[in-house]
Amino acid sequence: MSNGWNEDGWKMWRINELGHQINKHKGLLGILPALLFMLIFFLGGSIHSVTLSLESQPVHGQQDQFWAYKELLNLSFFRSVGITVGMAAAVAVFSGVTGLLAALLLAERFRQWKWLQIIFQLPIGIPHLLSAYLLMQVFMQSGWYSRMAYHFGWIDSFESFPVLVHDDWGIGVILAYMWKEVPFIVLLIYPFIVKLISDWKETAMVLGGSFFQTVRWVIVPILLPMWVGGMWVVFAFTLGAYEIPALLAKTSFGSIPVMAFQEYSQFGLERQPLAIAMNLVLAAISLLVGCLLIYLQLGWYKKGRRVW
Amino acid sequence: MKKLTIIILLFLLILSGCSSNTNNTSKQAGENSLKSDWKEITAKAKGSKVNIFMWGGDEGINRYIDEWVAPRLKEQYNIELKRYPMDAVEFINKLKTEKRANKKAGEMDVIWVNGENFKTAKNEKLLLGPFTSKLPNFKQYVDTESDDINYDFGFPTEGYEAPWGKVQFVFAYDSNKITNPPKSIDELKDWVKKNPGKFTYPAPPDFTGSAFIRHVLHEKSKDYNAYLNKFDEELVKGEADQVWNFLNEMEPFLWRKGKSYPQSLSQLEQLYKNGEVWMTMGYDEANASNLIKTGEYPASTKTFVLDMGTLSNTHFLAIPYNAPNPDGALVLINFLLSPAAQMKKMELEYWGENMSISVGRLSEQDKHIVESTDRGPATLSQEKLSSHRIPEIGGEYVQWLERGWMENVANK
Repeated sequence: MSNGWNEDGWKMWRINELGHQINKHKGLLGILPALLFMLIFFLGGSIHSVTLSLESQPVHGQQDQFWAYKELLNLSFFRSVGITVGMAAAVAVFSGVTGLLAALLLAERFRQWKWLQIIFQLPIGIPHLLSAYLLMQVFMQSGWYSRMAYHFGWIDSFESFPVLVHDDWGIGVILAYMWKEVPFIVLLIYPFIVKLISDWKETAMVLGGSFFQTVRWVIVPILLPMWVGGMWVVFAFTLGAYEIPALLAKTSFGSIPVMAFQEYSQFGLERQPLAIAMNLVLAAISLLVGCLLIYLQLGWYKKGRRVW
Repeated sequence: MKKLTIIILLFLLILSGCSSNTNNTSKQAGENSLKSDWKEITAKAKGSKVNIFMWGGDEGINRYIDEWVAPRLKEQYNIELKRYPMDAVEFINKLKTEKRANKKAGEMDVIWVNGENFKTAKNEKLLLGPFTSKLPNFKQYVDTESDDINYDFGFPTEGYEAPWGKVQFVFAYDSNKITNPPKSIDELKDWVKKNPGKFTYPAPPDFTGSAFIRHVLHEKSKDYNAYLNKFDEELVKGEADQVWNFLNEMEPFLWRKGKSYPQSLSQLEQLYKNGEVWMTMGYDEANASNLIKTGEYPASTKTFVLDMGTLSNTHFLAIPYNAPNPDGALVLINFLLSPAAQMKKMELEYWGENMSISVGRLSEQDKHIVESTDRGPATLSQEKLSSHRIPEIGGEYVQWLERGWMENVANK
């Protein structure tokens, strides 16, 4: 049952509806550039990486699509995954805790001391590569501190200076990362802490709460998602970063980004899929940890944001 | 909305960038150059511009190109030379992308390559073609029969690249601390055991560390020459255990008890400068002299080679398939192979590196100049170096050994 008038009305209605829809979702248009960027570069890059890692290799004359991943199924790679993830987690947690304490102290005690804050922001401008190099220059056994200690007669020889670079436990790596990431955490949460303190301090005092109670019942519950998010950023970054472990970790440390770089650049074209596969494993892990954190956060919201 | 427009415009710009440059001229020009004779080539190159893409990490080398070569090329051939610093891996990747996109007019006229890079470039047809027979200086001064000209890390050059220089691996030591440097790999091990903590080598796959372990293979292998042929995994598998055993026996006496190795040559050099170790090494016979001159190494530094010889390799210049100015490229390469340019390159003032042309083919006068060239206090004599030279083995063996070292030495 359709006649001209009805159809025109229908059309009009549809045009109106379309205009209405566009108006309603005008906000979406604003994020379109970012979305396009994301789709073209990030998603495109990811898909490209996956296809590269699946590039088939003739193994004993047979083509095997999952060659690269099968190569990774061995004990030494699992050990490397453990070490890389453990290292990233340690860096994230240490930086997070130190950063939180530093930010609280800065906000509560030293708000007047602008220069102290500037010192805390300084490392942010220094590239990771340079920070690793600087740390090596000062902390190696024949470095500045060792020379100074020797000069003052605290140690008998350079060899008795503690091994902090290329050491067995990755202390040098953790130190270098913390020097970079603690300021990052401070930068992230400091303004909020300042605001929270100024908003809540008096209320809390009126209600008879001490500063530590304010921290526990107000600051931490509000800050926690952002703080954990910051730690996750540090974790994901550390997981995939190359420069610091390359310069400061011992040879057999087994950091995956370093191994992947060697596979990609040194061991021949046919082993490049292996390097990509290693990085995809890391990407999957950091995505997994991110999802887990979001899941935990939702649960935490439901339970009323109790910390302990 | 404005932002979106800008993004779209940018996108279109990139797309249009991809579709331009599809003229055919460059590739044909290249083929034509290879057919012309030398007179035509120099005539056509006159007044043109030539781009050389090369690793730019050494001040002396850069100055040699910019301050010595460029003005003379301009003066003698009226060719303008422009140097672009870029790592070999990068420009080979760039060429690969250009080839895939079928880009016929490139930007690079001459590239500096050797070993794995050259192999990739030649296998993937990224190079113009055999051109060395065109060059008068190549024909006159280069020993065209010798293996280090005809093979590049075991891979036949077939005229696709022209030799630019040669380097040789040497060990350096502080003569104030060591009076009798070891003469063989076994003597080195004895020395290391007597002087714990004073020796180490960069961890392979570092270039220098990787070369060091090949010296162990050279002295432990029954027939090292077998490694110059095609890759045979059984061969290296059978002999590698001796290499790993040797290195593992030495390990507890190395710097930091072998728990960690310097990650690059520059880290090893740093340890040597600080006096943590007493010996260093490098794939450059004049490097120690250079570093004494700049004051980084103690003046008591000397170098030595092993009695059975040390590795040497040749590095080369090649022309990409899509060079915009192949005639200019040929003239430049010919100029770089001239006795004057090669002898200047040898002087410590710029580079201090060995010639790729043969001393025997020089004029009496030039021979005399070469002999009297001061290559620095720590550089061994030409005679000593050339009589202790061993060839490089194929790239697959090199990579196999580097991976094997990680598994059998570092992670043990």
